[in-house]
Amino acid sequence: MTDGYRMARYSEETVFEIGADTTVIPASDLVPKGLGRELRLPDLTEAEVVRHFVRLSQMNYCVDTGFYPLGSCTMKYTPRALEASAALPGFADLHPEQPQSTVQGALALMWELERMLAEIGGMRAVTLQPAAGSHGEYTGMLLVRAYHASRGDGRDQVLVPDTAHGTNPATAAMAGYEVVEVPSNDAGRVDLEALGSAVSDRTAAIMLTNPNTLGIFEEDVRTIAKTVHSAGGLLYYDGANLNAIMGYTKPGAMGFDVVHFNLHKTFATPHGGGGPGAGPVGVVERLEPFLPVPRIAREGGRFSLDSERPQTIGKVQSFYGNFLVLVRAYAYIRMQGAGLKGVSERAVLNANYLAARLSRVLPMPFGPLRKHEFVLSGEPLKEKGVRALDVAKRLGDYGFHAPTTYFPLLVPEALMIEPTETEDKATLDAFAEAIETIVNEDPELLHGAPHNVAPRVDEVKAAKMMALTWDLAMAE
Amino acid sequence: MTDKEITEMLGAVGIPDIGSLFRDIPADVRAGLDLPPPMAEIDLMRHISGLASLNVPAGQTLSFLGGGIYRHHIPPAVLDIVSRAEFLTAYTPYQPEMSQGMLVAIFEFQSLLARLLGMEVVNASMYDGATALGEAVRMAARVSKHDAVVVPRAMAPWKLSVLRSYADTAGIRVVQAGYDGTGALDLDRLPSEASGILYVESPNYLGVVEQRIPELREMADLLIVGVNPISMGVLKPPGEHGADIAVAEGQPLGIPPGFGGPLLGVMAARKEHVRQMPGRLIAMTTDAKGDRAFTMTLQTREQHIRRQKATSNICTNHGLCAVMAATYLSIVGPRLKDVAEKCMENRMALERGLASAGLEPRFNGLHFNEFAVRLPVDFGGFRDEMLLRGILPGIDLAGFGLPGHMLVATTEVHTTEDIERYVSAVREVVA
Repeated sequence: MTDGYRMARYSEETVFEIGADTTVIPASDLVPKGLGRELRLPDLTEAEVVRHFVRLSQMNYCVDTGFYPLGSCTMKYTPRALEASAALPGFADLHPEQPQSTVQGALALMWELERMLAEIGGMRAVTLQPAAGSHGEYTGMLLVRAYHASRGDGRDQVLVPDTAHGTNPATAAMAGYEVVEVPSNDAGRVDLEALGSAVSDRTAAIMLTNPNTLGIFEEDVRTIAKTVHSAGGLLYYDGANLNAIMGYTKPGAMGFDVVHFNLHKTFATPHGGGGPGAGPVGVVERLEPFLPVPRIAREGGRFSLDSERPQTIGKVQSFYGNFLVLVRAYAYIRMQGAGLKGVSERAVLNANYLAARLSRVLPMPFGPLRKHEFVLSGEPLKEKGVRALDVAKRLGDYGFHAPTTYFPLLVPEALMIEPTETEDKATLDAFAEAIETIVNEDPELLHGAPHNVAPRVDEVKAAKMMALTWDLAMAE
Repeated sequence: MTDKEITEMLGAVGIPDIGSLFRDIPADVRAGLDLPPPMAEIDLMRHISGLASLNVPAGQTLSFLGGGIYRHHIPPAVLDIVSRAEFLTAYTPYQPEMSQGMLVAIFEFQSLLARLLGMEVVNASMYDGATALGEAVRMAARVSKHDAVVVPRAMAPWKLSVLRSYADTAGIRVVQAGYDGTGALDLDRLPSEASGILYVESPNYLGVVEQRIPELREMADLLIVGVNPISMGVLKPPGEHGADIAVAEGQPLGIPPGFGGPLLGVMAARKEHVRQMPGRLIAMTTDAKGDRAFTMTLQTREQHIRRQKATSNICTNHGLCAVMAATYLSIVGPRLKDVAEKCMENRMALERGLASAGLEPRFNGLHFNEFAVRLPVDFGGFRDEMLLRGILPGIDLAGFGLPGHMLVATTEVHTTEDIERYVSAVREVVA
């Protein structure tokens, strides 16, 4: 089994070794003395550059070559029609300051996308401006601030469950709030009693994702909403796990006031090795006046950009958001349409099937029924000296990417697995068999893993040396 | 997936049907979806192409729009490389053993931009130049403990708005400093806060190169310098000016304008401040066999480890755009000087031509590839007339506070004939 797919491993040199360092000096009649520079960059031919970067690409695992079960990241397949759409010159070659009469198609697409996302989220209005999920969170917190400020209400705390993504507390703190952690109960859900004592007239909002990061649906969400609302706070929905519930419920129906959508998760835009994504934000009616400008307006059949919003929070991105990512998400939603319900159904079926198989191998704390992801505990392996990290690294030898590890913090030795709807049963079976094999392998073999891909990388040395650029590395 | 497989899977889970997987969602929160029916690929492509055809791409016109986003020549190899599935459909390189290729590419981005900016450390990217500035100002406040930043009045209004979104919540006041007759920062009227955190942009929104940065360096406790990366082909980089932090909009480095996104936020700093830096950082190290390897590092600054004590909440960044910039700079290499010189030469030719047609430059400072002109006629009517001639003439500066003025940009994509065509169209329209 360990002869499955794997990325290439080359001893590929960097561009600084492939091309000779070449120094040039600008023409003196263009740049006055004292303002010019010597420019030193490696000189490569196009052929050398292309060969180098094609090799680098091959030294990389990706969704298009194999199963990427990263919990919470929703690594689903990107239909190529999305890429073809974004590459159209009528979208890619638009300047953001063009006259509005020359960008009517772009504005129409964004206007429609706003409305489709509002429907999916059960929200009144949507801004497409945030560039990523955590950027959406930040935008959401700015909206929460603006709302309370408009009422002369100086609330200073944001509640975050202990199962939350790290971005939630980081965002709340960045927006100037004190973070109050709410513990989970024995069922892996928000502890209502603890919530009751955490909520007060200082509570600006609670940030929740539902299903939570254990893949468990917060069944008490209406009670949570009532508790927070009656104390004057707002509910923020982290859309990272939206892939689990489309067609069955929506954040608006659960009582949320602000929602961000991860277009690079639920709506299949590619992750690009760490972005760009997009993180549109939806709000209920009472928060609409505060949305970032410009807003897209429609009058008759014409679209325009409207910045006359006296209560707006201003701007969070240079222009209208990651437009080419928005084009991809629009294409995806039109392709799926009402069939998005089936997306969630297959994602949840895949997760529960894999969970059923793997919970016979490793314990899965907190109840059987899952939504789109589940968390196993590698705790029993510790007695033979094996860590969750070792299992994760060993999976590479079997041709699979590692799951998310050591998160959520609630589960010791956590292995967090999200299969998404785009994997077939045969892939899920092969992955389950790999885990079954790995947990019975010789601990020594696991400690040294991976063996067939690049050897384990020394991260401690990286932090000590801080060779963050080629020149810093060479100065060592 | 076949029905038979679905039945098998439901059996393994021990439930009768898919609906039962959702029995934990209470009735009082249930809600359906009102969306159009699914679209077949062939219909989708027809529909999407139809929407795209309602736009006029800048390449189908003669465009002199800039203001921070520019049309440069993008080598086809750049678009080819970033379309490769292995870059396009990978995740953030949390597992270094499976992501060496992406890690090398981002390391090269950091290294090439460090050379370009003359700075020690560059992070793995921010969303855009505006958010990079917002994060830079927050970082500057953490490092220096000042609670105000002085920024040029000659700054894009949208960038100022984004900056405020980042500064306000950290309790940082944003104070503007005016420009003089040359269009550069007015050093005689700097606010007193300029002795703390000072942001200087060169070229600034009006296209003017700041020539007195050494004096500003003397004055400020913490200096942030913003640049156009293409201008780094000829102009002294922030590091040589002694900048503590440098920022840039990286879009000109091989990234299409894309109606303003995705862009590329570039952020650089001194090594001594690296632990206060936001965002991901890639470092060179070794693997278990002692061979060279790369990995994400100093992650204890980041949200997934440090949670509310992180330097920023940034998680997904613009990695693929960073790969585009790395590929662009690898292909262009030292010839970036030629690109920058061509931009300046074109700007001079355009400036002369427009002046001869009655559009005088507003400022007499040193410009890079962009400048403000006085417009003797109403902008709206002028723009529409130019558009009828297939020309996007420039950006109205009324919103910036200079009514009757227009911002005009040129790059190496313009030929002598393009500039002549623009100038003669202006003659017709203004006459």
